[in-house]
Amino acid sequence: MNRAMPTDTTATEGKNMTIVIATVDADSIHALITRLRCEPGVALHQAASGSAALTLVKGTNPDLVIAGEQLEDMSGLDFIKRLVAIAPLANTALVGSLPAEDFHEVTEGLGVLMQLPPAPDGADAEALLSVLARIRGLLAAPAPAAS
Amino acid sequence: MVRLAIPSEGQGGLDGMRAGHFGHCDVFTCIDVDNGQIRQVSILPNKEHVQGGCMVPVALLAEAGVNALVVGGIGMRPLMGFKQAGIEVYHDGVRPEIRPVVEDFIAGTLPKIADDQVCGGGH
Repeated sequence: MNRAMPTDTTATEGKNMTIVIATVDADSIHALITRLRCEPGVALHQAASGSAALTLVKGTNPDLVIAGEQLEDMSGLDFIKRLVAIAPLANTALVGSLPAEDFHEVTEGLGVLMQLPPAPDGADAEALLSVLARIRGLLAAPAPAAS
Repeated sequence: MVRLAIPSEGQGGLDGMRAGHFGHCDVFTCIDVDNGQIRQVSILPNKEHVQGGCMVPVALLAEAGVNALVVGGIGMRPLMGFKQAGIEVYHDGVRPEIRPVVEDFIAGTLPKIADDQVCGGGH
């Protein structure tokens, strides 16, 4: 039986980071969620279907969206394809087990930060947060001077 | 006035060469066009490229006041990002030189990229 992930229903205002998780299997990503919850100021929202997750995305303007390999109504990959059309600023990670080359091929152009293993753990969460921090740092850095 | 950006190799410039992948380009050659005339050319260094960090150049160009971009190819996510930022994206997948592409842009003969011309995602 799936362990229900408590969804943070508080407003995202005042939070440092908003994360939407689209998964039908909260059990398998429990360790990842636990680590993400340790980050200060994180608001987590969860949906089991792609359509519900897209609605969440529209309402929360997330910094990060984590998609399971298969959702109730679509694959995680199809979900991300729909997501980039409406919220290109949202960073994404996709759970899966594709070889690196295949993952690159199927996600090319979608700007997915990384593939997470089927049962991601705390270390995977650390790696994800690290990449996210690097991108946020680049976005915040002053533009190089034009000549 | 339109500020056009061309992803460029090396030091860029009107007589330079275009970069094939905008996210990995060394610099953006920025051309200010007013009433069909080139008013100014400036060089904007790109930022570091990170896997999944395709919004970094989008933010960089938006901050620099760019409102048009010519690419040889682009992914769906950055294309949607440029659209949200109000930057029109044009396409030329053939010519490696900057100048003739700029001339076609000024002449109004360069096509905008279509959603079904994006790289990857099964395309």
